[in-house]
Amino acid sequence: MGLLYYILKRIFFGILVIFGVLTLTFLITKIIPQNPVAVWLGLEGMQYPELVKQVTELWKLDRPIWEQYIYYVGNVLRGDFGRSSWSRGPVIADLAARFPATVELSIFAFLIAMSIAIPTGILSAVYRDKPIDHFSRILSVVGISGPSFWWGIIFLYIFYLQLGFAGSGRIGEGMSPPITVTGFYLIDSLIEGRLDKFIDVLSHIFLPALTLGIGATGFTSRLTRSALLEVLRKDYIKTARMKGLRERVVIYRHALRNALIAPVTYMGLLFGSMLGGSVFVETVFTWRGMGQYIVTAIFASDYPALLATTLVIAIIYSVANIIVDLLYTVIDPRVRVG
Amino acid sequence: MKFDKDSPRIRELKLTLYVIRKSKMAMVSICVLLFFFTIAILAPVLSPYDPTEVHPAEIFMPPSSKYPLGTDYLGRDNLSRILYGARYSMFASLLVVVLTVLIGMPIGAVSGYLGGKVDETLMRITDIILSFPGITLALLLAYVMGRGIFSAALALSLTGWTSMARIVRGVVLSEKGKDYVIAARLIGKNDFQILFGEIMPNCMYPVIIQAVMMMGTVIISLAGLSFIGVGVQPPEPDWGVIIAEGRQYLLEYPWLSILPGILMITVVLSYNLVGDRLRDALDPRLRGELAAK
Repeated sequence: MGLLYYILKRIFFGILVIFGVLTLTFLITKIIPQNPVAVWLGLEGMQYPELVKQVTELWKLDRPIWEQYIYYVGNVLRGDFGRSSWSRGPVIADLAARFPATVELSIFAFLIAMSIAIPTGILSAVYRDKPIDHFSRILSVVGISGPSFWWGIIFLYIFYLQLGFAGSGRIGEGMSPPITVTGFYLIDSLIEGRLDKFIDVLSHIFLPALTLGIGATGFTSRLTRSALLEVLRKDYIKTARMKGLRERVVIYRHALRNALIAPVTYMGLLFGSMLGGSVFVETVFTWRGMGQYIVTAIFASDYPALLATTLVIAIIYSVANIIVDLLYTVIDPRVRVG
Repeated sequence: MKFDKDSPRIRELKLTLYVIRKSKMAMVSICVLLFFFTIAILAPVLSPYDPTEVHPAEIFMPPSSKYPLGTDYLGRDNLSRILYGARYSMFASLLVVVLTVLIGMPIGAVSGYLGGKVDETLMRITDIILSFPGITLALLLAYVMGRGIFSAALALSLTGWTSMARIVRGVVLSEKGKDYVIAARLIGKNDFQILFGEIMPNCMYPVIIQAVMMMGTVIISLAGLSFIGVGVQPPEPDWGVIIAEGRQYLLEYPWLSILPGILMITVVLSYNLVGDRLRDALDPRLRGELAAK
């Protein structure tokens, strides 16, 4: 079977799962203890049976459930996630503004996590059972054991309240957000040509990104360590040493390449952990992204917004997983056998 | 099973316990967990006050003999709130894991044993649930079912059973072709007897390990749901709720938020350490090595 077959198969199953996700959220809309028409019209509007009938027909709520399902899927495919029962605007507009904030934060968190985890993982493996190994083990184990919202609060207390670093929000209070081109403040501020804004945005993203990445950092650091130790026992490493290569070359040129396959495999999973963790971290740092939107929707009993955001996050995660799998299939031929 | 001191199962169990006892770290962790369970059970006896009782004249009191850990923004006793909070963290998490096993184990077993269409369908359902990252789906479900600790626990079980089901399915898949299963079929046992009488006892170890490993994550998730506002509802004193309330007064009274987090890390860390050792101690290859050390 060719590579193309596997890629198509993976995409097909990915789409199947996304439809499953859609079905699940649709079913949840059917079981929620809230009448969407009543929420939309309010107490006053409900007194006019004409109006109630009109809205019910408009939203096809009087139709059989499978017709409602088709209507729902059609709407989602067209990017219509309904209207927020709180702000009354289309949910998609709110999401469009918040989507880049979460993605920017997640990507930055991912970069920070990797740039801490991989070097410490390598050091732990190279200096196995030395103080630095114990130190990084304790740090990652304790980091994983604490809830991210708590770490966020601790970081805010130490770095913001005590040391005066940039605190919550995406940009300093005195500054206006950069012009919207990509929605990523880091990129937009550079496009605008304002280095001071860029630095301000950078200082604001650092703490939330560090917090969001804590779990991934601890996990990847441990994984890199064990993967590298495993590889260092292999015969080809012995051969490389016997050839008289320097230890540095053996570790960084020969061993590391194979050792890093394991952490790379988990990239999709780690990205998912960040999307999920954004709910907490964005709340703590008042970061106006999708995670915070979920929480505000909960407080406002805004079902359409809550459901739509959860759905969008699940779709992003599924697509990210498909991409990681596809990349992996291309990189590592062994995967195709499975 | 009649009790026989020299039966292989008993010997195995003794060896496992011996390996666990040899690890100081694991023993300390077990003691820590027992300590927190004791606190949770004895909270009504140990607490000097009712955890929701407000003392409007005495808000933000520093630690004193009257209030050993001070009071919060409503003048409630912090010590009593933290002691009562242990009940949610220790017991609600246990409930979640038990429910997870009860849902996930039969599904995984049937999926692996029957294979084919049933397996395909059930595994696609787990795929769908796993497509929601982190606790987003649990958050949604908990909210739909109505805020409160039982909705939160049920929501986490309804999303968490997938990992348990996959583990059990894996074990059943690798066991179902073995000779003892064929022998059981030859002597006329039906599918139900074979699956639950013959194969399932072999799932016990992986299930126990996974259950202990899950505890930490579940405690963090439960506290997270309470922190967001869909779990334990104020004024009830969950650790997540206490952290959320303390956050408003972080600059002046950081300890309100910091202390519950430290306790939570201690408990989660202990579960993880016990889980790690348990996994090694139940691994037939590692066990002998560790016992000989």
